Parts: sequence; C-alpha cells; structure tokens
Amino acid sequence: MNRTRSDVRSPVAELRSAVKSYDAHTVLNGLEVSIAAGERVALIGPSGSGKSTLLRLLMGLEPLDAGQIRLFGEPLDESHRRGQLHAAQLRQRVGMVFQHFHLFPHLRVIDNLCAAPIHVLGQSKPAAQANAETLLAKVGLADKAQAWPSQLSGGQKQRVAIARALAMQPELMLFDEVTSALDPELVEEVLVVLRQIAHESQMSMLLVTHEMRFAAEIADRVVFMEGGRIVEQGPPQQVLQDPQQARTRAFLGLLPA
Amino acid sequence: MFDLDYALSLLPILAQGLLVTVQATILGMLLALLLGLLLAIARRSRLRPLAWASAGWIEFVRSTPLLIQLYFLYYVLPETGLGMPALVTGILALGLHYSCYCAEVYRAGIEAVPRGQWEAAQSLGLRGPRLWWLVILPQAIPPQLPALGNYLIAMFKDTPLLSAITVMELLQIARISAAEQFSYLEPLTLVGLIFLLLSLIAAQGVRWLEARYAPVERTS
Amino acid sequence: MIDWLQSLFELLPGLLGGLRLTLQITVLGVLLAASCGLLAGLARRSHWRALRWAAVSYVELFRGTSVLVQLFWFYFALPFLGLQLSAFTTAVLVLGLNTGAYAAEVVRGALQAVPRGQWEVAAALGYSRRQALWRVILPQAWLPMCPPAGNLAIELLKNTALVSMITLSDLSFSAQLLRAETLRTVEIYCLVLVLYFIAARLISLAMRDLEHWLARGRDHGGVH
Repeated sequence: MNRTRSDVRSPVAELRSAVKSYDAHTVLNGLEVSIAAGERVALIGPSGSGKSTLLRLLMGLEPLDAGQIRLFGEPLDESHRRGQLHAAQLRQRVGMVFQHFHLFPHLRVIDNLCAAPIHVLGQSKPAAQANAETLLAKVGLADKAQAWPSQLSGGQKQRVAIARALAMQPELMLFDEVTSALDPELVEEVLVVLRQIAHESQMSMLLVTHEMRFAAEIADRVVFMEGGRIVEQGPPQQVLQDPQQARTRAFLGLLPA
Repeated sequence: MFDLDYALSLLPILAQGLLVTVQATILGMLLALLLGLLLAIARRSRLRPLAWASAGWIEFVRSTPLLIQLYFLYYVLPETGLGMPALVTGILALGLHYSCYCAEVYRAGIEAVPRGQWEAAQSLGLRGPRLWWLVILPQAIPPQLPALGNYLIAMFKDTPLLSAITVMELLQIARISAAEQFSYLEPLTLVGLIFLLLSLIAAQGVRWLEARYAPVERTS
Repeated sequence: MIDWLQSLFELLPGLLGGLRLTLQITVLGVLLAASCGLLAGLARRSHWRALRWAAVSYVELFRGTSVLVQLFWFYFALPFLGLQLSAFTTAVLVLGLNTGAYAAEVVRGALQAVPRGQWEVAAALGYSRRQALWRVILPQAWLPMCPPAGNLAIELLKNTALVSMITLSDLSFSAQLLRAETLRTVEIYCLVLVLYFIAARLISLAMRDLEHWLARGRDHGGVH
C-alpha cells in the first residue's frame, strides 16, 4: 500500500494547547505533548488525570474543544468534509487497544483479525487470513484461530485484540490500560506480547499503564500526568526512581526528597 | 376531494361513538386488570395443575386473534342462555383477551421483587393475601404501570373490532354514515385522526408514568 | 373422541383455502414489515433531519391509529383520493406498514443494545461510521432483535384475521362462512383458534432456531 511517509524526524503525534471538557469539568487545559517516531512513551498518573482522554483525542474518538492535533507531521482540521477525510486517512496509520478488549463477539478469532483488513484496506480474504495466522502465531494463539471470543480467557482476548490492531499495520499504537481489566495471573501473558512488539518492531507506542516495572523496562520516556497537565516527564530511571516533583513522588508512594 | 363541511357535520355523531369507545376501553381494562391479577397469581400457584392450566390459557389466548374470540363469545354465549347486549359481550372479550397480557406484566413485576422481601415478610408473620397486599403488590405493580398503560392504549385501538358485532363505537358509526352518504373519505379520516390524537395524548401519559414510577437508572 | 375427530375432518377442508390465504398474507406482510422496520429504524438515527422526521412521523402515525381503521381507510377511503388497491394488496400493505412501525422501534432498541465499545473499536480499526454500522454493529444487532421480532410476527398473524372485514377470504372469513352454513359454532371457532395457535407456535419455534443460530459462539443468556 502506498503511504507517503513524512520526514522521519517529525513527531508521529502531537497535541498543542489541547483543551477538552466534559460538561462542566475541564479534563485537559492547554496540554502540550509530542511523540517521536519509533519512541515508546509510558503515560502514568491517577484516575481522572486525562490520560485516556489524550489517547481518545489522538484516535479521534472525542472531538477537541480547542488546540491542535498533528499526526505524522500534518495538522488535523475536521471542520469540513475534505479535512475529515484527510484526518481519517492519517488515523488509519494509528492503532488502539482498549482496556475491555471489545472483540467482535459474533466472529471467530480469525475473522476478528481479518475483518478490518478486508473491509477497510480492501485486502483479499486469502491474504488477510494468511497475515492473521502469522499474527496469531506471534501472540501465541495459533491454535485458537477458529475459537469464539467467549471461549477465551481475559489474557487471550487481549492478545487477540492486540493482534487485531496489528493486522492494520499501524505506525503508532495506543494502549489504554490494556492490563487493568485482567486478573493478576493473566497480566504477564499480555506484557510478553507488548515486550515482543517493542523489541521486534519500529512502531511508536504510547501506553497508559499502571505497570511501573513494565514501563521502566520498555519506555524511552515516562510522562506523569495529573489534573490534565504534564507534571513531569523524562527517562524512566529519572521519573520512576528519582522524580523531581513532589506530586510525582506522592503518586509513586515515595518519601519526599 | 375532501369535503370539509361534511366532515364537520359528522363530529356530533362521532362524539357519541367515541363515548361508547371510551366506555368499552375503560370497562374492558378494569376487567383485564382484575382478571389478569388472578391469572398471574394462579400461574405462581404451588398446585401444579393450576399453574400449568393458567400458563396454557394465557399462552393460548395471547397467540390467537381477538376477532375470533369476539365472534366466539358473540355466537356461543346466547346459546348457553347468557344473552347480553353486544357492548357487554365486547367488553367481556376485550377484558378476557387483555387479562392475559396483564397477567404477564404482573408476572414480570412480581418476579422483579427481590427474594428477600418474601422472606422478610414471612418472617414477620405475614402470609397469604396480606403478604400480597401489603408487601409484594405495592412493589411489583408501580414499575409496571407504563407497560399496563401501553396495553390500555392497545385496547383502545382494538375497540373498532367491536364493530364486527354491531357495537356502535367510532368505526361502526363512521361506516354507517359513510354508507348513507356514499363517501368514505371524510368519516374514516376523521376516525383515524381522533384515534391518533387520543393515543398521542395517552402516550404522553405513559411517558409521565415512566418518569414517575420506572425511571431508567442513568449509568454515566 | 372419535366424534370430535370426525367433525374435525369434516370441517377442515372448508377452512384450508382460508388458511392458505392467511399464511400468504402473513409471510408477505412480515417481509414488508421487516423492510420498513429496518429502513425506519436506521432512518431514525440519520444525520439528516428530514429523514429522521419522516421516520418518526411514519412510526407515530401507524402506531397511533388502529389497524382495523387503517385497513378500512386504505381500502374504502383511498379510492376517493384516486388510488384503488385490491383487497389482497391493501391487506399486505397495511399489515406490513403497521407492524413495520413497531419493528422500527425494535431495530432502534437493538442497535442501542450493541455496546458502545464496538463503535469505538471499529473507529480505531479505521471503519467509517457507515461501514461500522453495516459491518460491525448491525451484524451484532440481529440477535437482540429476535425475541421482539418473533412477537411482532405473531401480532401480524393475529391481525390477518381483520382482513376478513374487508372481504378477503382468509381463515376468519372461511370460519364465518362455514358457521353460517353448518351452525356448528363451537367446533368451528375452536378449530380455527387452534389453527392460529399452531401457526403462532411455528413462528415462535422458527424464531428460536434463528436465535440459536445467531447466538452460536456467543455468551448469550437469552436463548432457552
């Protein structure tokens, strides 16, 4: 598929002066954030700090009240039809995995993976199936191709959800607390897959997570958000082990410096 | 095309028909509400034959046309000696038919009452009719008022069937005057509009009932 | 007992023609109702106000008036506006439109029942809103539609009895005729009620089979 790749050095995703409110509650107030190509960013912070909102704005699931979103170096302007089509095109290069998986319950696992490549990318059924089988093998679920989602455990469902998002070959992957809804013993199998993606691909990754050790392991940058603002960001060793800000220390349960 | 003068001249006699329609609806519904409650209780009886028979009866009446049931009563009742005016037969048919719908509504309401209420009431020494009257029904019925309201509206819209056994309700009046004047357009359109107006008003009433007695919990 | 069976076999032939017509009207009516219901249910969610209004008006008009009045109006009043339809066409048209109005609400409810997350995941995978509706949401909406759709089909079956009042020789009409000839009121009406009941059960069973098939692989608690 012919995709124009913008300058490798321009960020894959940017939010500038982003403002977002729900009813009377302002969740983001002038947020500035930027993800570089190939970068792995972990987003941490208390509930309600706006982390999920950030992801949803990038994915286009919510409209921005004010400010600008840029994807792959290009600004999004959805005030008119052409802008909307342009935004949709750019967003096709972004993938997202949700906390509650949202697998298609009426389709077998293999069809879950093939659906979007066939309907959206126009791939042929055999090609889509071949890719799907490869991806399923990668996430360790090759034997579950014909299974129904209701037959899978939580960890297996999330691995399928990740494979489904990967089937669209995104350049930027958004992970919204993908292990938070899992029983503790099922978390590791998902982290294994995430680790694999981090090591084997050049994909940019933005993960909202509560798994601090995991974040330290794969993230190039950790961003701590609270009250809709970035309080502190930097390399994991710095932010997670020796944060500069008192609020970061408080969140991580560390004694004041 | 549409003769407005003729239409307006019809309003007085249509009003009389409307009176009969409303009578049939209200009395029919009262019968349905009463009988339906008895059926619902019978269905829950511990006597298996009774429960089974009432469940079967409810299913049978709900699955068959009201019109046939109406004809049945109209032709068969006089033969057994119970002669009655057509309107009464009509009310009886409506009541019997809709009692089965009401029975199912009551059932839903009763089943929605938490088990703990039964146990608590029994532990306080309440039994039988007092248990039903004081504890169960006051909790079972209010959330179901909208559903019952909807069946009232449905019954209202079924009253024109009574014209098949010559009851002088709205549709019958319209048919007769249409046949006399050779024009069906005005009478039938008016009848349609009257039904539309009244059921829209009644539907608002049901929405009010919903808001008052069975509000949907808001999940953010 | 033999007596009963014998009278059954005597009366049944007189009713078969009517039964066939009843079933024909039911099947065609259900097809029309399904189409109208789907179109109106989708139109209710449209972005274009005119389309939404049209759907709402259709639904309110046909749900707010009596079926029998609608039948009479289309058969007796419409000719005065220039359009004369056969009794059969009127029957299928009116019953289909009437039940379709109720079906529109069933469609709307079923679409609402599909979890919001499915819309989001479809958007995340690159589906446009229209693609998401047809490829992801609607296929999941068929299942919750089954129970109420089954009930509506049975309602339509019951409403076919009304077409006897606009001179169609359906099962009800045949029953009236047979009664006038033989005066065996109780037997005839009992038989007719049983025939309608059997037809209604068949519809229920068919719907349940459909529900089972749609629910394969899914965590569906509603299928008994």
